[in-house]
Amino acid sequence: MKHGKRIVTAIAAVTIAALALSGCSTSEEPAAEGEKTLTLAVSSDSLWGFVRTDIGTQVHQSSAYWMPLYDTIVKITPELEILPNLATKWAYNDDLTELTLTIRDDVKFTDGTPLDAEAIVQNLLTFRDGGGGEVSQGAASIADAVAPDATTVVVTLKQADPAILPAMAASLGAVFLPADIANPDKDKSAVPVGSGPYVLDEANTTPGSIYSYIRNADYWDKASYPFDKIVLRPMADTAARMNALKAGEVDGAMVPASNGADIEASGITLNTGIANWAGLHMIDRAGTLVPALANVKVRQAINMAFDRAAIVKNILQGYGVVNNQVFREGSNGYIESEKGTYPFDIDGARKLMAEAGYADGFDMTMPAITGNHDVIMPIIKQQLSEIGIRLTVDSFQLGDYFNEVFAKKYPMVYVNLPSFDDWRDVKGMVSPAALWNVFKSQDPVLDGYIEAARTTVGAEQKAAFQNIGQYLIDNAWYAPWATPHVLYGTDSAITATLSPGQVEPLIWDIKPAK
Amino acid sequence: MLVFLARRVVAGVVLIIAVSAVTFTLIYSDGERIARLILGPDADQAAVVQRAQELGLNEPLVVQFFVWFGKVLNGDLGRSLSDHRPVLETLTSRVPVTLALVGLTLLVTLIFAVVIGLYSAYKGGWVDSGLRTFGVFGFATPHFLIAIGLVVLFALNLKLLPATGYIPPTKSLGGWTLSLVLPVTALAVGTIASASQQVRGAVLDVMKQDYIRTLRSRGIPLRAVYLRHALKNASAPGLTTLGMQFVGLLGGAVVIEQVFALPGIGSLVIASALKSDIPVIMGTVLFLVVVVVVVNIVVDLAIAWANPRSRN
Repeated sequence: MKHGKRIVTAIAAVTIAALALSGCSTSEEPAAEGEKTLTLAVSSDSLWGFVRTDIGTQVHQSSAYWMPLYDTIVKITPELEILPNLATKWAYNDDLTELTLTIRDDVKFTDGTPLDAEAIVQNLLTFRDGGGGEVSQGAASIADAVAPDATTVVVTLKQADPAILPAMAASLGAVFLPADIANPDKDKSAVPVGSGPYVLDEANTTPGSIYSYIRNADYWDKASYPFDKIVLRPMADTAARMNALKAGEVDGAMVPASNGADIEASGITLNTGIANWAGLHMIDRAGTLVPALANVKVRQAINMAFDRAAIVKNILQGYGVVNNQVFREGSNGYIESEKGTYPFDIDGARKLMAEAGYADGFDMTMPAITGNHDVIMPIIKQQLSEIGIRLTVDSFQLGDYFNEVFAKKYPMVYVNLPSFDDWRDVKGMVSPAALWNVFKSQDPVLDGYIEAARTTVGAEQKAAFQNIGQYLIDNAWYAPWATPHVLYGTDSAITATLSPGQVEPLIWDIKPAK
Repeated sequence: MLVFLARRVVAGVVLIIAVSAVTFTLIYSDGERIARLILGPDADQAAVVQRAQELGLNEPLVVQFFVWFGKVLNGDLGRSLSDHRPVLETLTSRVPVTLALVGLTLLVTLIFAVVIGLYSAYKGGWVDSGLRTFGVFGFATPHFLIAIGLVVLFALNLKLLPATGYIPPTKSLGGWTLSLVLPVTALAVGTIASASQQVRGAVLDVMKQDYIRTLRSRGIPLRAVYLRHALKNASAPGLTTLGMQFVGLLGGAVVIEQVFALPGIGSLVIASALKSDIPVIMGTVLFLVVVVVVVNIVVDLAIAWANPRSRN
């Protein structure tokens, strides 16, 4: 009896202690009166230390981690308009190979070092020469950069590059303390020195759990950044991110399409953006691996084997729009009159296959990423079988998949490729040098259009992109299905606008709700 | 006893080396794959090859393993390939979170399993059946389902407890406790269910022994027999179970830490596996193997101390 009572008493004591503790303050620190804090869930942890060379290599890095710390040379709006930032104005020479930037004279790094033209030059050149990652490749067109005086940077390009200014609004444009990047022995995990609107609040930062940023007291453009504090919480797990958003523990988080309806139902605002096109990429257009793919009628037939509206409704859960082109609707390369080309028409597709001499179909193998492509692959296989193509699927882990694709082992791949800025889209998948032009397909006619798009501006450039768009449709280089929407949930405390190509809003596009 | 201890330690060291070597072989197999994960899918192939070389990933596997192992013996676990922090530093900040989660779960399990197990054995009848049915459900339901159910109820609807996050006890003891209530509960349901069955079974076994009958015949009350004699003698299998539970909980923590966004070892190992941050994976695996070996030795020692027969 005595023992039984003791146990019960012990349990009661533990419970009471827990309840007493729970009465204590649960928030980390009470916010000061009127202080605005922005708390965001970020789907990946900070993948890099804080030094420049590795920002260049990390393509999956969320911009939320570095944008508070570093000023970019220019800014970009959700309409893809370039705005001044460190550079107050800029101008090209006649053949667009020399870019002259005028730099502010009142910006200092947080350690007091002035941020001048020379600092920007050092950053651009270091970045071009280091890393080797995707963003670093974006700087490859820079032949040289010099600083004739403290407020002028002259960038010479190997050839005209319409992507260089937008890149200067992203990680290529982030300016680091030159002494840090010049020192190869610099501890890559050390606290960064930048000139951005915020500084890392080390005392309240635990890598992997929480990253806190507080205002850079001497920042030159405080008005553009309404929040006094930014808190980033890495949450790789979708369930955790959605729970945190619904529970009001974060103000914003990326939302997968499969959670869209649930999140909307719980009163969270879903902001939509666009980044990619989804569909099939017939990379072996010359028929090296599968001769049939060299026939344009076969490629057109593949275009007609898929019900795009059903894909948007069922696979994208309605979060996306049908698109039969690789350029986004409304962009320079998008052709309005071709909107209905290659409709879902199995009989028509079979007819094309027969005309191409493949009435009995042919065999083909596609690679897939285990986990990521589990839903879509059976659909692709089913639809291709409708027109006689017998598909075999080889599955790979994420890390192996791209090596397999770029080793030219497969004729066709399922892709989600960038589709938001015509020139960058061309550079990434159309031009002969493009990484995603895997088999390096080339045609002098198309080369002419690409060259025209690169070396012109305004109406002339638009005409060139229209030509490219038309060529890609006529020759069925791809079989695009849709432009999936990027979804970003925000609570009632903030509003956010997603820039094209971004899966999360850039920090200057997040504002407190009125 | 010393010979016994020495044997266990040697076996433990062999296990640590073997597991490290196997893990190393499994994840270090393709240097370019790792380099591409660091540089991103769109990186230039030449840059990928160069990066693999810079990281020493092109060396023969055996060489790489011994280089790594040599450094480990000097207390150097290397640096993360992604955030460049020393692995030891990362582990030092992550381990307490997982230990708190697993330790509290074990404590809660111990208390509830003994109470439920004893009560079940003592009462019998429908109480026993009811508790055993609960046990089957608790044991069969995956951790993450329990976790999601708890979050929906206590965090999203009742708004009593946080849905995600971890607050270090140094910041706020109350916050720390609150942030662990749901994760610990989610983990503990399964272990309580199975451990209480163990306690119940062991106690019932002991109760059939002759000396219990003797005790009863001397007029000692049934409750006292249960608490003073049966429970004590049933504790040896309980200890073994507890040791196994601990190892199992480390596995369960991987999922629970993800769902509650707790910055422990589990979420670390998943994040680093996804980006092939091999020094971190190796460091974590090494830590986990060492913990498992140490826990097993401690449990073996405790049992050997309690029961000399088991020393052979």
